[in-house]
Amino acid sequence: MKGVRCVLAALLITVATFEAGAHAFLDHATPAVGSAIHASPTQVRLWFTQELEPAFSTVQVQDRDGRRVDRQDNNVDRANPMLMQVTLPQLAPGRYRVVWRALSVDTHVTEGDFTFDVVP
Amino acid sequence: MNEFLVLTRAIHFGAVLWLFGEFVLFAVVVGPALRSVSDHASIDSREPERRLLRVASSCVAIGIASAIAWLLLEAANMSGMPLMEALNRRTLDAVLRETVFGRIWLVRLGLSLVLSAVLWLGWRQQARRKGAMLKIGGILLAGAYAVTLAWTGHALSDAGADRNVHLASDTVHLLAAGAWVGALPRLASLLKRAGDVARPERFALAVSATQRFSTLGLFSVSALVTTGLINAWYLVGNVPALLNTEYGRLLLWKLLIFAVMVALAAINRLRLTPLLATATTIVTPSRNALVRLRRNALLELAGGVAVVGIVAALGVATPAMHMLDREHSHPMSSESHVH
Repeated sequence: MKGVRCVLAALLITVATFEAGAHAFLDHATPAVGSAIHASPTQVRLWFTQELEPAFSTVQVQDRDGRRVDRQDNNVDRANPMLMQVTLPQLAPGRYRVVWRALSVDTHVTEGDFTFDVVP
Repeated sequence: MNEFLVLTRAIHFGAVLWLFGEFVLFAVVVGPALRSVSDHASIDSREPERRLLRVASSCVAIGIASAIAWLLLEAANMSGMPLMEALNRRTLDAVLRETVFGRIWLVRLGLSLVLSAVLWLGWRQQARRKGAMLKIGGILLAGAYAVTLAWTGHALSDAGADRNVHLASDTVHLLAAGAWVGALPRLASLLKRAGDVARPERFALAVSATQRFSTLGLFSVSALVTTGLINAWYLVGNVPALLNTEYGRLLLWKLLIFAVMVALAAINRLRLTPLLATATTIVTPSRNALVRLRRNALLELAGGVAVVGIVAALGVATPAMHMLDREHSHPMSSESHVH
């Protein structure tokens, strides 16, 4: 019985972990998720849990009315494919929404958004 | 669209594994078994090669067609556009040139085209020469066609050395799965034909092939468990997460089916194959063993088809570990898994 249990345990680990992994989710960001900062940031940087495909990964920053305010130069960092970034002009005080879409190198798409505040 | 993607992937995986399994069985089981019973003058030694060419040609055709469908569905998935809108040159060009999936897809298309050429030459030359080129070329190309699937999967989610180990492990996993499950249709066919009392040479061929396949199956199952454990090295901490997610439940179904398949293979190896090995002609015990062997092979095949379907579905599902990761991070951010 002990042998059978060992085999079953090995099979459980084997099969249960074969496909686990994948999907790029947001690990952290600057400005941080939900943060309030006193100076207008020069860029938004998003670090993901997995490498991204630059061709189909995007990020944009919107103001409270949904207008896009970033410089539309979003890119995935060549040296660190887990980092996506976009630069910003001088932002007026207010709430801004970061909307991102990430395609991981194993073809999974994730989407998300968060806000940060620029305060006087 | 996910349902189409799962179906397309399942068909593609099935065709690729079957293709490799046919070549493996031809090279290491049927060929040597044929030589061991070559004293039977009535046996048609060309028939296995003709069957290999027929099945392999069909598998390659299905592989190419399903790969094209997979590419188009991925283009829609990656771009976020409806399928018909995604079918434009710019999007397809970006998928093929700028993504890992696209570049691997092109490599695999090349492999399938070279395989087609080898099979075409096999058809043309089968009357003149032995199948050495078909055997060696086919097994290498079909093996490469199978292992490159690893580069379309979750192994890429790792980084650095971990990614290389994971890819190597998946590579062996795919080869072992193909050598076992992909060879079962041909084995079942051999066992079916072996019961003809008027053709004792077919019985002798089936006995020899079954013994050789038993060894192949043992290596394959050992490799599947070993490579699974290597993957577990990275991910073992996530097993509890599997119990509370749809992804986890799918994996547990895969486990259950795999365990039943291994049990059937063990019965074949430990009980039925020895019964056949002691028989020299078709008598009642050996006929019963033949019938049970074939039934078990078909049940294993059904299990293999179910596992391939589950793997195809898992590839588009959100892994359990990430579902749990998300629950514990960024309460002020909104995230969703699209595919």
